[in-house]
Amino acid sequence: MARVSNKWENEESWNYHITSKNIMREVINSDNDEDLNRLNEIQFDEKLLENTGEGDPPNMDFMRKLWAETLAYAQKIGMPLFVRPWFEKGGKWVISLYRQDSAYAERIGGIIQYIQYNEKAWKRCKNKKQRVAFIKDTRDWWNDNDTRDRTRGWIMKMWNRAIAWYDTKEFWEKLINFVINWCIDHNNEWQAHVMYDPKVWFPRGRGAINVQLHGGIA
Amino acid sequence: MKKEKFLVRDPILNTDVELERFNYDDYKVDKDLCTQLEFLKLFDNGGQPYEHPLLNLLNEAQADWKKHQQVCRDPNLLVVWKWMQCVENFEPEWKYKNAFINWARLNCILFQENPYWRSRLGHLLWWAVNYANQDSYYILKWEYHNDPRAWYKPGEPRRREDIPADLQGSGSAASS
Repeated sequence: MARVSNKWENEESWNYHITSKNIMREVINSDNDEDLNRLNEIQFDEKLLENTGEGDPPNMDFMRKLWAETLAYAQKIGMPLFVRPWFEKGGKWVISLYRQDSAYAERIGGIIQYIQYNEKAWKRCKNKKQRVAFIKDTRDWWNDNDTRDRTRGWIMKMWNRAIAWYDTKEFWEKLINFVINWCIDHNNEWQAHVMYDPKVWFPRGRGAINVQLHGGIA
Repeated sequence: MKKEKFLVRDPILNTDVELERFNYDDYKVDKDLCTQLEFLKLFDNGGQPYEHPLLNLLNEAQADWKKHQQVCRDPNLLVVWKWMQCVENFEPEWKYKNAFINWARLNCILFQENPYWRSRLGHLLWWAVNYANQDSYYILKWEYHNDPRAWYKPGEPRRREDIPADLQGSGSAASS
């Protein structure tokens, strides 16, 4: 099965949405970088990235290509020893989240569109300090627009860890620059879609009553 | 309206999640409203939670696929149980906090154990669902204080914004 149910109605979807996401959240919650090796504990089937006839979310081919070229670039510039054990697994996991979970696709796609829209601001950045400010602006745009409080803390931790690495580690600075530039340089391959508009990110509109009924824990 | 941070337990991840809610504590307790709730002491159980193997199974099913499959055979029970968990997370601190939670736990247990209770509680659930249908005689409408972060506290009078404008008068209901 290349698409897992979001109703946890079989063991595969349970492993994906509960077991694997819990590992991911524990890794995010940990301040110890060594725990990133735990990403290898995620049971991940490469078929989750493939379209076996059930269809793809918008721009899935863009995401596959972005990942393939990012991986190739990381190998070309040389991955630090600490990164090598989990980088490929982690990257594929993120791309699978885009494909399998609309709440992730909405946010990831929205951020890519935000970056593409602000292309000129990015290209005006002359030094690392300005580029860090651009990435922080992007993070703050996401934070202002995301009303899902349950996941806010985890996503914010990912942003802040990425920004800290960008600021202090050459590999991550180069890699994140590559990803941003790639998204901008390939914007003619990107198709705008209403799902990326933060006004419809879950739970604004879809799920609005549900999230209130659960007191914000949905 | 002031906002405050608060922690709730995410039952899936088994960690605390920090959320934000409005602070509705700026009111004077109406003793008559509290007296109306005295019947809750029936469920207080000396401050101890009601225990039952069903509740243990449901709790274990959150992290165990086989037990999850077992409880998923009764999806209606899961709806009542999720409501019970929500009550446990959000009932405010007061003398009958445990009693109200126990009442929720009792509803969950009886829903599964006792056909009398199941048929009537199921009726209540479907009654509400029916009135969410836009073709029903009356339409169930979302009220902001259905959100547990905005629940009324025990003894809290109706908030001014919840009183229809033509009934508000010049005084404040919250000071009664």
